[in-house]
Amino acid sequence: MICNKCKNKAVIKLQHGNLCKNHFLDYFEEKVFRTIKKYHLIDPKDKVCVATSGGKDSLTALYLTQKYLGTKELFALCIDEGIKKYREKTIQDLKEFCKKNKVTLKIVKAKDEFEYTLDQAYPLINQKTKKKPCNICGVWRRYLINKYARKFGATKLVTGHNLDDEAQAIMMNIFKANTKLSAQLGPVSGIEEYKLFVQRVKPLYFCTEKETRLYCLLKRFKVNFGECPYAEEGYRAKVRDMLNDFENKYAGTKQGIINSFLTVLPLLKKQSERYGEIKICKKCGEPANQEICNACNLLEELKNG
Amino acid sequence: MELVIKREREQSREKISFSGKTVKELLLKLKLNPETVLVVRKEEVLTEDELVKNKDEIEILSVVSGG
Repeated sequence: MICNKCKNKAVIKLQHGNLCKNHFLDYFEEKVFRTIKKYHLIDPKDKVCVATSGGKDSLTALYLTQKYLGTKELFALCIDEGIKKYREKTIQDLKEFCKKNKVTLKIVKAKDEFEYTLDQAYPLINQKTKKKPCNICGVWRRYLINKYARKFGATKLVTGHNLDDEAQAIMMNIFKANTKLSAQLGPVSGIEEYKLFVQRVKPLYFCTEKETRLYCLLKRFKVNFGECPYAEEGYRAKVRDMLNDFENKYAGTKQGIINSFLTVLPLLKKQSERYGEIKICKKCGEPANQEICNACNLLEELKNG
Repeated sequence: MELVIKREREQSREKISFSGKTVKELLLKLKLNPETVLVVRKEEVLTEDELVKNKDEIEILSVVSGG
């Protein structure tokens, strides 16, 4: 297979043609930069924080956001949930990456905030509530990323969500009739501007997981591809496999889902205005859907466990 | 022909016999969806139409994040 642009050997077959290494790298970077510009993800006045785990998506988002900003400074924020023999490795890779690329890295440990690592908290909470580690991890990560991005002065929070993540979330919300959650998706996350929320933006919104993996490989980023010991093949994995199966048979399926969704997103956001205002947690003062936020509810379960 | 298949995620290495010709046929034999993997030979990314040769060492990289 040869590149449609230069006749060199192709490394990927895309819907609109085949691309060699150099043309793929250009295509990928231009797509990310175009997304940032088209959806006004980053303003020149913004202080940018990139949420990073050391995985392929967040490293790519970090690298390309830095490339887009040029000399303007940004910082990376990593949450250490406390998962032995897993997070230490990804953090080590992340530290090396940040050192090499001259990025300030801030690491926030769940243990410092909640007095427990995920390894310690999970069995205690699970015993009482049957909650899975990913439920706890998700609540903690969202809470800490927003809180510390804001504390460190960020006005924009870049995440590594890609086209596959988004297509899966859209389909999961449709299957479960979660219109309210869908209204929070899109290249710019969230329903409304709110002073306690740092607006989350997704430069990789139109990049597939395969393209992102290929970009990392061709750029020789050191990424740990080990699996989180708590990773489970749950509902999302089923939706992911279904979409990949469709994509293999009918190329363009995932992009089609995204395009359709973006057409109705303004309507979803308008409808969601009726769902009521964001509350402030009575215990910690962070934004919450209920009187008490999910992170404080988990802490309560730990204390009473 | 005989191939060596290295799987990054599983960190495994196995010898298989293969009667097909292309990467596409190899992925079919391994029951892998091309959407979910990258296929590499000697640090070179292979597209589905590429021919594999006897004694080739083929690396299968998973595209899906591991949590």
